[in-house]
Amino acid sequence: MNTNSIALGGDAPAHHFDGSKNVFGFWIYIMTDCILFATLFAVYAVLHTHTYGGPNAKELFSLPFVLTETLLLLTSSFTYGLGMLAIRTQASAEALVRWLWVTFILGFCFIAMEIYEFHNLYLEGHTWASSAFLSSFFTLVSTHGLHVTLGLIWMLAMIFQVKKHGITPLTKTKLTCLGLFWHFLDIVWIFVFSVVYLMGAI
Amino acid sequence: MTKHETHFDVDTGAACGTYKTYVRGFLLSVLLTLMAFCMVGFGGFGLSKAALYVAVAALAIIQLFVQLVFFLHLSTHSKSSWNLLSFIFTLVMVAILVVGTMWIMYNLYANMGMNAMAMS
Repeated sequence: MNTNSIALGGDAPAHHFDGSKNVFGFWIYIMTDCILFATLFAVYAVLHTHTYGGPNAKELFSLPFVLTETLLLLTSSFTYGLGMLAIRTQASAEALVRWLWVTFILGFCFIAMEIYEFHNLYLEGHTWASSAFLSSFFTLVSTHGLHVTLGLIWMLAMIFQVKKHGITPLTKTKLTCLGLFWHFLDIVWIFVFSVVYLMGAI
Repeated sequence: MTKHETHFDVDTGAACGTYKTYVRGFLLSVLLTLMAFCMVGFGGFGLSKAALYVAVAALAIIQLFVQLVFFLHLSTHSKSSWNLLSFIFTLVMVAILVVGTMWIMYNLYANMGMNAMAMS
C-alpha cells in the first residue's frame, strides 16, 4: 500500500486508506461500553440478594454448564486471534475465512447454550419479572448475549466481505474493530462468570 | 510482552500479536478460569467465604490483564499510549461507579436494618 501511494503520488493526491483513527474510535466506543456493563454489574451487586422469597443464584445455576459456555467463548476469542494472525503471516483470505467460521460456530454454540439456559429458567417459572435479583440477572447477562449476537452478525458480514473484496486495508480495519469487540466481550463474560455464577455459588 | 515483540499494522495502526502470544494468552486464560471454577466447584478447599470471594475476584482481575495484554495487545508502547490512557480513565470511572454504588447501597441497607448479605 505504501509503495502504491508513492507510485500514484504525482498528479492525483494519493489515496491511502488509514484505518488507525477508525480503530482508535472503536476503542473509545468499547471503553464507553465498559461503563454500560459497569452500571449493570453495580445494579446486580446491589440487587442480587433481593430474591423475593424465590431461589437465589446458588439454587438456580449449574456451574459445569456455565464453565462450558466460558470455555467456548474463550476458545472463540483465541481462534479469532489465529484468524487475524493468518492475515499477517500467510496473507491468506482462505485461512482467515476458515478461522472466522470456527469462531462463528463457537460463538453460536455459546448463544445457543445461553438461550437454552434462559428458556429453562422461564419454563421453571423464573422470569425477568419474578424478583429484583432475576431482573438484574437477565438484564446483565442478556445485554452481554445481545452484544455477542451482534458480533456474530458482524462476523458473517465480514466473511462475505472478505470473500468478495479479499484482504484490503478497509476489510482489515473492520476485522481489527470486530476483533477488539470480540475479545472485549470475552473479558466481560469472565466477569459475568466470576461475579454472577462463581460468587453466586459460594 | 516485551516491546520488541509488539508489531503495528501499517493499514490499521493496531498492535498485533504473534502465534506465541496468542497461545500463551489462551492457555493462561483457561488455567485461570479452571482455577476459579475448581476453588468454588469443589467446596472451597476449607477457605472461608470471604477468602473465596477475594480469590475469585483476584483471579478475574488477573485474567482481565492477561487478555488485555495477549489478546487486545494493550501495551506501554508509545504508539498505543492514547489507548492505554483512555483505558486507565475508564478503569477509574468503572471503579467509582461500582465501588461507589456498593458503598452507598450497602450503607443504606445497614442503616435501614436490612443486612444485604444476610438476605440471601
